[in-house]
Amino acid sequence: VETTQLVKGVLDLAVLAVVAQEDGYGYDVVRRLRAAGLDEVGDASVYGTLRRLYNAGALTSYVVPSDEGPHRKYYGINKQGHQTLVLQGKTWRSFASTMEDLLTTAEGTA
Amino acid sequence: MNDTTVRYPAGLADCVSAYVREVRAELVDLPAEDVDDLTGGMEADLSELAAESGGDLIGRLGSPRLYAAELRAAAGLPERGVGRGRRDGSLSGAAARARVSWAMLTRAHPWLRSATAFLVTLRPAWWLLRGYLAAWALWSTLSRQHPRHPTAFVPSPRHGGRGHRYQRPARSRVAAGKAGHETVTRRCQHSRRYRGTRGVGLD
Repeated sequence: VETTQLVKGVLDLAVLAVVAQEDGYGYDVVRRLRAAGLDEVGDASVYGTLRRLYNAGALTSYVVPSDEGPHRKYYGINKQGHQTLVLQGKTWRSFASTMEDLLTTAEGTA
Repeated sequence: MNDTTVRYPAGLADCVSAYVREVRAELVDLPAEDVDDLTGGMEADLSELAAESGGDLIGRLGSPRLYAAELRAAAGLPERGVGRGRRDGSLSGAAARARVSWAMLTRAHPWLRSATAFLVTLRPAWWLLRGYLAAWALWSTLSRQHPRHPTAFVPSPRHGGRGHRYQRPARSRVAAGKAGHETVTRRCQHSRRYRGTRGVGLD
């Protein structure tokens, strides 16, 4: 199984989970996803996902001006985002559990 | 682009600005609001990434075109050239599409704008030529002779005719514009040897 394909399917959930821990700007979110082990994640994919989740009403956004450089755009999770995170988290756990059972059975008969 | 980026080495700031500019050019068919939304804060983030990776933006992110395509796909926006106005078969729709295409073209290749501006300055020469041809047509009709070829009246470039002198600056200006565009692209390519593109696209 291509890890990149799997990442695509769960990027929304992964981004929501990272932002739920703490507000972050785009590159900060990319870095935290990679630190968590999602090495395959693409920068532009994360930025686009943040934007889409914001447009869907799951995230808030604010600009932090900087004296020494260009401004940063931070994203934070809101109530709707939390609900999405819980709901998608349940779906993921159920899916992962189904796959785990399937593989355990297959390996037991092999 | 932004003088507050001086805390990074000048080369990096140039590279970041050039990269952001090229990504924005790839998004030019989208409403300006969407482009600002998608690229807001990008300069700060890429400056950080550039400082970490020694300016190797293309090695880390791929080309601005690929980056923009990945950004659109992840944001749920249409691919470039798909969507708005496509189904509009009217003449005004065609004109609008042509204007957008031209805007995209000139933003991707700024030298085209200076070349066009230069061609506009040649307009009086075109009127002169048209007047000349009209006079020739009238003369050949009235004289009822076999018409002489119109070029027989045009001074030969080989003998220092005006036409020759008109063409020269066109070539040199276009060439200068091209060189400028290539410099912008090269700014982000100096450390391309680094390594392959990291990360995956969504499309």
